[in-house]
Amino acid sequence: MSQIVHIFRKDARQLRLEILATLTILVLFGIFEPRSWNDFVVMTLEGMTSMAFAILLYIAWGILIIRLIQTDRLPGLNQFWTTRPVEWWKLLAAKGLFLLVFLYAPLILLQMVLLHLGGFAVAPNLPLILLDMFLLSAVLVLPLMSLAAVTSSFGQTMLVLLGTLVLFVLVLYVAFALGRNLEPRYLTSLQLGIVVAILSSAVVYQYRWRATRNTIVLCAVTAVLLICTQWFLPGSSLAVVGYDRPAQGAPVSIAIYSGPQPGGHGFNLEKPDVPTIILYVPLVVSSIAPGTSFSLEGQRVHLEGPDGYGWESQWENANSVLTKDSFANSDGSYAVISIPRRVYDRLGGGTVRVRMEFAVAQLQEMPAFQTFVSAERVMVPGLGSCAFSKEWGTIGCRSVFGQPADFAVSTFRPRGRCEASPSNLPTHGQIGHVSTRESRMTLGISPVTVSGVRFESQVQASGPLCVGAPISYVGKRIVQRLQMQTPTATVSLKDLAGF
Amino acid sequence: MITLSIATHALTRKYRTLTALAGVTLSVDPGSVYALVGPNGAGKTTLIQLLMNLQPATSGTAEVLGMPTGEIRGAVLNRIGYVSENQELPEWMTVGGLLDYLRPFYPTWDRGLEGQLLRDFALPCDRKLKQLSRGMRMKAAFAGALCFRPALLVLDEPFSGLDPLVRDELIQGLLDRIGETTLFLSSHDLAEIESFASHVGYLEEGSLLFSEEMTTLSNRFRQVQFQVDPASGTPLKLPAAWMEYERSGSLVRFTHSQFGTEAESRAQIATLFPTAGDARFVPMSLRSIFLAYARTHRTVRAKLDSEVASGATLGGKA
Repeated sequence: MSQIVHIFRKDARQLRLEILATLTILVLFGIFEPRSWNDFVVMTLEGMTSMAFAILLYIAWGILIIRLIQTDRLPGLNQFWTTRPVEWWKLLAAKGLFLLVFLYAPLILLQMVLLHLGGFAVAPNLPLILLDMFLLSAVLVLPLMSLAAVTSSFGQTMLVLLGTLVLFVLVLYVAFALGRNLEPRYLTSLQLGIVVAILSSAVVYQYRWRATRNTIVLCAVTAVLLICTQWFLPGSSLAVVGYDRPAQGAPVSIAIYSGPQPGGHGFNLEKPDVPTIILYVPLVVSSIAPGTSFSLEGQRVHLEGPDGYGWESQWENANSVLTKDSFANSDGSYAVISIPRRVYDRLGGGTVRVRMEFAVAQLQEMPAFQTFVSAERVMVPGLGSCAFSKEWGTIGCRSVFGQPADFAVSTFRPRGRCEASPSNLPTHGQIGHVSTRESRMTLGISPVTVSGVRFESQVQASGPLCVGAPISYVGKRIVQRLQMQTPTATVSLKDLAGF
Repeated sequence: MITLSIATHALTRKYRTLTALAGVTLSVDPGSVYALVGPNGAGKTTLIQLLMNLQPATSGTAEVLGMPTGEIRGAVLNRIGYVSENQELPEWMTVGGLLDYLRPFYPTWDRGLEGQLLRDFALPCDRKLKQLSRGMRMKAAFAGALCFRPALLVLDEPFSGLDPLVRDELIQGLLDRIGETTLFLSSHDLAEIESFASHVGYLEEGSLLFSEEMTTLSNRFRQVQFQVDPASGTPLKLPAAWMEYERSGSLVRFTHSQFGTEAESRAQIATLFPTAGDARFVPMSLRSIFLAYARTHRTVRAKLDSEVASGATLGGKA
């Protein structure tokens, strides 16, 4: 232990400027971040400053990690420490202790302070803080430790890092190009698991054996596995692992509407260079139990022409909610799918047999939480603490780590001002959903996520929210995920295309 | 049985097609000062790095202080000191900081010796290593390697590029430790080595050509010179121990690598050169021996290569 502490002290002395820089940025982030919590509608200067400090903090941490590993560098034969009585595991433990003291502990402390300032109890959220540290290790600490462990100098690490970032951008590009494909729900966890398992082994291996070439192979294997999982899993049959097939008595029934079609405009078809054709497949949804809704998360279509020619899509993303009982009633539910132009040309002339498969999430409404519109913060179970903001004229909520679950908000809203009068009777109804403001990110540094009620008013009133008015929050939680399929229907693709 | 400080057997290190060490077998007795000499690229640094477990051997075995070199790491290194001309030092540290940092790693660290070495080497404790000259940095490295009184001190080209004064100071520092510490060093600085090495090994192209005590080596090498009748011929076959044979008119010169006594040598010369007279046998410095070996080895190698090449040509024609 004394050797670990001895090396730790040496590193702390050598890297005192880097430590000072990271802690200063962390403190500045801690000062600006709470000021940005009221910016749940648009980003203000405080929000941008806080985000800038978050980015700076990541850069400072990156430099600190690389310098830390390379103060006792591993590749090569001329290092000072390799011919001294330094146990490899004690050296590694000293580096770990350094990260614990100067990276993890200050961040954990900051997150605890921010949780307290955000009005949240700290102790119950400690597991989430630890999970956040795990994620930080997977996305920042371990990758940089591995890179620093197989390179000899800061400049060399930067070059390799640049190459890795280019690779990462390529992977993102591939992911974007295949963005329509349904990603398995476990994909992120799988990728994080791969990173943590292999890279932590690589770091330990390099400290134990200093076999740089082998360690580089381990790092390359990690990159290849990440690319492969990103390339092959989305859209494949493995993408719907975790969606159960209902045994009997499915909670919802989905069929393709094959009655008279309003008629397709076919605007895509006028352009022969269009590579894909969009089809809007009307669905008949029935047997939805009260208080239940279904969210389409993925879909796959099977087409078969009269001549036996068949085509099957990959599992694609589908972000829609099955709300209507029947397409024939009004603007019912649709499945929006794209098919290659060549398939359309092959099948588009006549009728085809269509069958669709869906990956569906069944949502159950939670009991409504009733309270009053108040400028004071009210703790809404499952959501966080919410308060009326006079500045923005809406309700802002703070949640712990990540986006809050989907909450519908209902209240009374007057036609004019809040003062009651016979001509100003408030109307009750759903005014919108709680949604996280986009484009604001603190990169996992802040434990507090801010969100606001986005108005999607179904109430014929445009007055303000009134303090003291009753308000209810109804959240939805996923009770099960199902894999469902429609009966085969016979339709004309021409009627669905571009509709 | 006394444990040898270093013992290798058929130690070989290959890098793809290049053989850096070819079956080196040597032993170093405790308390001795073993100097490994050889031209650039002979494999001296590779051998030392194998002994220090900085890189693995391709084949063969090596033991240091009775321990296989593959196990030399961690606590074992508090009995072994190592200084290399290429070794990196934590240059951001001061000299005092370096010694403060090293001290807790070694249970046998001698504070008294530390103070003495700081004085003897005139090392400024408060100066950063990066601000020091190469000689001073080397002195700091020596101090760090001597203060814990290692059983074995391995030095790779320790005097390379240093001025004579610094060399003398370092050698004096080493001489003070002789007896309690086995020294194993590689060097080009043959004159300095000769003054204190007890054993010497000559490495060329990865092969250890000889490894023996300095006194034995000095005794068996002589520069021989005698006169012959200019009209007399030269024997077709000369003894293999006669290196760098040359004849200029009546003067014959060669290096005798198996010199026994003057009487024996005179008899041998008289057998081959009946007209020989006025033979003189001059003791040789390590540098002269080294040069004689290097030149002879190269000549033999060139001759062999030429024979192989001509054989290949003939074979090709056939």
